[in-house]
Amino acid sequence: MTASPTPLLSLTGVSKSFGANRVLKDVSFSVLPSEVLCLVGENGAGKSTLMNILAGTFGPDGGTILLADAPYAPASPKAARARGVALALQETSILPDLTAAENVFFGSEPRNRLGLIDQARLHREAAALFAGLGFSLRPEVLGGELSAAERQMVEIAKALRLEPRLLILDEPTASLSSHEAGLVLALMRRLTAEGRSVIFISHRLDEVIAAGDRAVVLKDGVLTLDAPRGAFGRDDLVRAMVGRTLTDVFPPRPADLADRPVRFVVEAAVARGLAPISFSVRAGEVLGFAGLEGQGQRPLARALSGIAPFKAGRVVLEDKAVALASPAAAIAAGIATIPDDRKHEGLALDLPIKMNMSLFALSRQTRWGLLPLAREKQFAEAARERFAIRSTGIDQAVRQLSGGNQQKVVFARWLAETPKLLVLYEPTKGVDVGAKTEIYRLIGELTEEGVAVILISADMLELIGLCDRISVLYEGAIQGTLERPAFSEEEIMRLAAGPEGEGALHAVA
Amino acid sequence: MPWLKGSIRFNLALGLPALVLALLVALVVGFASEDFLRPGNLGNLVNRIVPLGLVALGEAIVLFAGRIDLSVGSVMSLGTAIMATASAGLGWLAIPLALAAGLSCGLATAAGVVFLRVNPLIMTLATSAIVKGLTLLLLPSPGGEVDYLFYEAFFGMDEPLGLPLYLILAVFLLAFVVLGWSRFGRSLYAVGSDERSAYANGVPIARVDFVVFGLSGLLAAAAGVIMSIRILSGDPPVGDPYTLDAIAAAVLGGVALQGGRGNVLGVLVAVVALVLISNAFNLMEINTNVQAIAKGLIFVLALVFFMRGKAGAVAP
Repeated sequence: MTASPTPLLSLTGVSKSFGANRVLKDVSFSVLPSEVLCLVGENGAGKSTLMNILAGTFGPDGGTILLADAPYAPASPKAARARGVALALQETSILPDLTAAENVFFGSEPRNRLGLIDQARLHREAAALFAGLGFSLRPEVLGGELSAAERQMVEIAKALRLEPRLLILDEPTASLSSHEAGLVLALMRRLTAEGRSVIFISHRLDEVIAAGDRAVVLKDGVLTLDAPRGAFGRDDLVRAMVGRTLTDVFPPRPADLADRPVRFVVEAAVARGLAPISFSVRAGEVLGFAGLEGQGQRPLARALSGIAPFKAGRVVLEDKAVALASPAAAIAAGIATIPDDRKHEGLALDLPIKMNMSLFALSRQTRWGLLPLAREKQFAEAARERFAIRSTGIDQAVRQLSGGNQQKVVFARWLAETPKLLVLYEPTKGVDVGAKTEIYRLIGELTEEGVAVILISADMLELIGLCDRISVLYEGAIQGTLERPAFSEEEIMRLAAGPEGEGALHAVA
Repeated sequence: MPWLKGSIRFNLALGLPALVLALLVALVVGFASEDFLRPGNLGNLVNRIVPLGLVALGEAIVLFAGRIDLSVGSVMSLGTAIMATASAGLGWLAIPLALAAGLSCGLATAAGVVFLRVNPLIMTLATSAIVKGLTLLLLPSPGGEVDYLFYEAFFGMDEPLGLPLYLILAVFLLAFVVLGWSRFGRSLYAVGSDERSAYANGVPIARVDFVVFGLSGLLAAAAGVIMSIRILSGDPPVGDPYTLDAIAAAVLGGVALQGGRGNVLGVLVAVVALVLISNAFNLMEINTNVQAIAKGLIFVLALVFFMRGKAGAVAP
């Protein structure tokens, strides 16, 4: 290659260790001006460490970093921002008691002549910023009331307000629906057209292929792929990430389920955020729920788990009417729910793996109300094996595990006894490809055992790959249901857009 | 009012229940008792509002940042003791001395919280014990002397619209503006709202701790100074009930014990409400011990009321 443009950012031989743990080993790559560089890797591959070095959270142990040909070693996030490098975090730093607008401008609020914050201008400018980004977001909503997708939007708006030369987006689309993810991808194109560069971290390989001018893959802290657009495909990315091809990510589905008994029926059930909803699942069947963010997925998951019960309607499990009045009632009925927010609803992060597994799960194996420690240990060791949880041992604190392995701990707990119905709500959110495959395999095994599965997800590929039927939610009601052979991303999106989208597409066709 | 936009409006709204309560109590007592509206009683009310207002303001500032200060009552007592022992010799200089002592107590507390990483609840409990000991060393029993000249200068007019009223209004107004519309005020709410997010946003957490505990100590000492001028002496146990009263006023005024929520105007209104209730009890000649029981119950009710509001707001 001749006369390649000067890179905006170049890393040479960057290394970093935490104690004896070498997280980054001799990593070198560069980001050109006006380029989207996609950074891919399993959780724990070193992506976050690399991003933290670039954002100024901590420095590397070795190697050099140049930003526009000048040495780049920011001492703090503030120093990084001053050099034109902004980071939109995945673990958002939204303040729950400030409004969306106040969050965007936090620390650099517009002030009037008296030095006081100009609230009117602040909210006006935030509204303009959101509108400019194509986000439908009200600036006066409190941070604590924003959805995951909205929090991510605020985080991106916050980073962009500084007009950075290099914007780092850490899994911005993990919590977004396809439509919203599309907004982020379009935004990246606009930024590069303005001459800015973007480092884009994503677990969605389709996005990487669609948006990346260049893809860089990390595996165990080592750079395993660095290729320009057109020179990498799905298989190349997967092989570089996990060191093997993912020929069969999804378990095979039986051709016909019509002879299986109906396991679970919901009739005209109502809850806050849900219109009267009716559906049924057969034993061994996977029923998917698709839809844009906030169309009733969360209320449905919470109602099925008994956290926010149905207010009316009928729920039948194995031909018997059941009242899912509380989580305890749902568990007693044989319904296991894997929540999406594993950090708050699923796990005690500072407790060891074994205690997180035995919590609730072994309640029927207690003796005089006490849990024999040997039983707990035995159970945890077996579960660690079965669910392939990568850890130093069953005494490791769950906080230290990667997202995918944390999720496996949640599975281990809920599947200590085989449930009649398994409700999964975003089971692979923020989970790497390797762990995803293991989770999918597990779901396949459970359906073979006759467990009925309800999968509520924003991950289109996951829905299409795993489900026997997919119901699409729109404004809390089922807009349509698709049977297995008739699945397509297009068809699901058409239903997800509601009656209007349907009309619009027909008009185009 | 565009300048009231955003979180400030939410926080102000949290003070509305206290406002309703204050008006209701005023109305009831006003109708029930002829003495209520007499200038003497109104002046008396203001004189009670001032010390509690100052202590509650300091406590509220600490609570905004998600901490709690259990030493305010003891620091207030220390203020009275310093005035009672030093004002005879030092004259007016005893006031800055007492304020400096209160500020030092707060900064010492903050140092424990920041450098020794002691939980604020425990740290301020320890500060409280230490300060109590120091106070008793200085002034073993109620007494000493504060010259009547102080009283004349401060309470002299003995009418409701006197210096004390202006003082308390000015202090709260200043706090209202600074906490609502300054970047520092906002960073204080940020720490109380979510400390980790605040840190990630570049808020210097240690500085916030020093400021909130420093202000709390300073304001508690100021309350002590004014109390000593009113009683013309020092009184080691005088501040004891003020810790709970201050927290009760803050909670009643809409301040969240978890931090990040509330507004000082709500606290001021709640202070007025509490003083009115206590005044009503006095006018009805209800036993002070029964009053203490009632106060505790009001505190619990206020907590339950606002916890419910917060939980309801979180559920989708």
